[in-house]
Order: sequence, then structure tokens, then C-alpha cells
Amino acid sequence: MNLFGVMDISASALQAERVRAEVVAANMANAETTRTADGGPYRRQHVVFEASNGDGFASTLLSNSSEGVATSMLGTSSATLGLGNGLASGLGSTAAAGGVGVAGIVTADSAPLERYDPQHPDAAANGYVAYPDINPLTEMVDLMGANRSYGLNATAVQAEKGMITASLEILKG
Amino acid sequence: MQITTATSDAIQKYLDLASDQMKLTAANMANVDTPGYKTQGFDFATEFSKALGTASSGPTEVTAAEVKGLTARPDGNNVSMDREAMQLAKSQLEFRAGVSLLKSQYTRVMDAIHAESK
Amino acid sequence: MIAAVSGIGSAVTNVASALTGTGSTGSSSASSATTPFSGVFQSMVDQTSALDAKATQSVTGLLSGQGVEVHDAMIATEKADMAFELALQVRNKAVGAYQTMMGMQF
Repeated sequence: MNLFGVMDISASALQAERVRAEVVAANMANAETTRTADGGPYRRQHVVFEASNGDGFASTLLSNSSEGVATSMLGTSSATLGLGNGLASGLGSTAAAGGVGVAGIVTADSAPLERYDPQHPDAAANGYVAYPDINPLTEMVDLMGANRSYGLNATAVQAEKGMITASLEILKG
Repeated sequence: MQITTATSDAIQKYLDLASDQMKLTAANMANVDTPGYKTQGFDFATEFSKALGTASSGPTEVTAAEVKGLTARPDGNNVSMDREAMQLAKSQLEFRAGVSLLKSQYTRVMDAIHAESK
Repeated sequence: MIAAVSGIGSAVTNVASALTGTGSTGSSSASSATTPFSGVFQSMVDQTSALDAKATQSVTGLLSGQGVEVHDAMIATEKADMAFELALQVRNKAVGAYQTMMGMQF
């Protein structure tokens, strides 16, 4: 794996963080949704990340070949993506070894909030309406975390670009 | 005939190690939110002296190990964003410095070759 | 480029043989015992060819996405270029020396 492959690692992180931000956005948009296609209120979702290891990133990744040819580490792993959600279906199944992939989008099974409102069309027999248990503060913190990680990995892509550009200087002059 | 000096061979290994460091840093940064992930790293000085001791035209193999001394968050992840950001800046600068030094070595050899035909 | 380097090699070997008066042509290693300069130059040419082959292999590895480092391909190319330049300059000097010798009046 050379520096171009390293950009794939950072790209996998950017993609994963973006999925996370999208899930947070869906949660916030549906914070008051009492009615879904499956019946019942909207349930909070969150992403689970996993490191994609390929053939053992730590030990074999770093053997590069200075003047010969090294075996590529790209595309050898297939992160298990149990995706039941249209949001993440564009991720593909081969994440760069050493990078991160979305292992799945999990629905939290916390009990929904009950509010007493007998006039509401979705009220149950006892007059309580089930609302999603989504705390906007939690979602905002998650979004800020996704933002910060995204920025960090974008800086990493810049740094990798800088290194490749610097190596072009060897042949100049 | 030896077209490169011992210094330029050493610098080439230095560049290899700096880019290895960059790979690990990128992987650590990508996994900053992965539960249970442990920071991977290696000791630059040890690996460099090891690389200098081996034959000159072999690949530079580095084994990465878990970095000690980092505190883990509740989900098991112990990647420190500040440490990784500093490592990123450091490897980038190390690489650039290596390239500049290498260029000066090669320029000197080329000047010697072209010494009389100017 | 390897063909050009071998061309230089055989040209210089011819020059060196003419200078030492053996009159033998060809660049076999048997002549290296009697014509030291052509032997040295032949080894230079061989090393240049080897470096050139390594550079080609390295660059091919980089371009085909096999994981060769960018800076390693650059360094290999630069080494091959320097070796070629050196061989070329040596050849120029040798040819110049031959012509100087030929221009002498006795």
C-alpha cells in the first residue's frame, strides 16, 4: 500500500462520518414523528463503526517494496455491512484495509416517550401518544463529534496530498 | 561504480519510515470513533537504526504495535486526536525534510558529473 | 534507453581497444583483462542497465497500482538517470581523448 492507498483509508473515514451525520439528521428530522410505515413512533437510530482489517493491517500493511513490487492491500477486506437502511446502501462492500466501515445502522430499542394527548389522531386507547425518545442535545453532540472527526480526516487527506506532492520534488531540477 | 552515497540510501529509508508513519496515523485517525480500537504505532528511532543495519535494497518492513500509555474512553477506543494530529504534522514535515536533503545529495552528484561540460 | 547505453558501451570499447592497439572488437569480458578501461566502462554500462531495469520495474509497479511507494519510484528513476548521465559523460571524455590522440602529429 502506498500513499495513494492511504488516501483510501482517509476517504473511508470521511464516508463513515458522513453516514453518521446523515443518521443524526434523520433522527433530528423525525424527533416528533408519531407514525411510521411499521406502525408506532419513529425509533432512534445510530451507526456502529468497525475497523476493516483486511489480512491483518498492523503486521503486513507496512511491508512496502522499495524497488520491487509489493502486494496490494487494497480491496482485500470486505467489511460486514448489515445494511437494512437506504441511507447507507451506497457504501459498497470493500473498505480499505486499516480504514473504517459502517458495520450497521442499529435501531435503539428504548421505550418511546409517552405524552398524554387524547385529541391526537395517534393516541392510544388510554389517551397517551408515543413519541420517539430523541434528545436533541444528544443528537447535537453526536453531530459535533461527526463534524470534528470529518475535519480531522479531511486534514489527513490534505497532509497525504502534501506528501505525494513533496515526493514529486525529487525529480525536479 | 556507486552512484548514490550512503547518506542518500539512509535518507531513502528515512522517507520510507516517514510514509509508514503517515499510513498508521491515517488509520488511527480514520478509527477515532470505532469502539474498541487501539492506537497503532512504532518507535521511529528503533526502526530507523534497524533499517540502516539491513541490506540496502530490501523493502523496509515495519511491524506496528499498540501504543502504550494512552487512556481509553468508555467504548474502548484510545485514539487521542491531538496525538494523531501532531503525528500527522510531524510525518509530513519529516518527509519534506527528507526529500529536500535527498535532492541536495543528488544535485551534488549531478554537478560532479557535469563538472567540466559547463 | 538500454539500447542506447549498450551502443555507448560498444563504442567506447572500440575506442579503448584502438587506443591500446589490441585491435580486438566486441565487448566480451575476456577483453577486460587486457584493456582495463573498457572493462571498467563495461561494468559501468552493466550497472546502468541494471538500474534502468529496476527503475522500469518500480515505475510499472507504481502505475499499475501494486503498492510501490511514489518516492521509491522517483528515487529509482533518479538513480538510473544519474548513472546514465555519468556513463554518457565518461563516453564523451573517452571519445574526446581518442580524437585528441588521433590529431597528434608524430
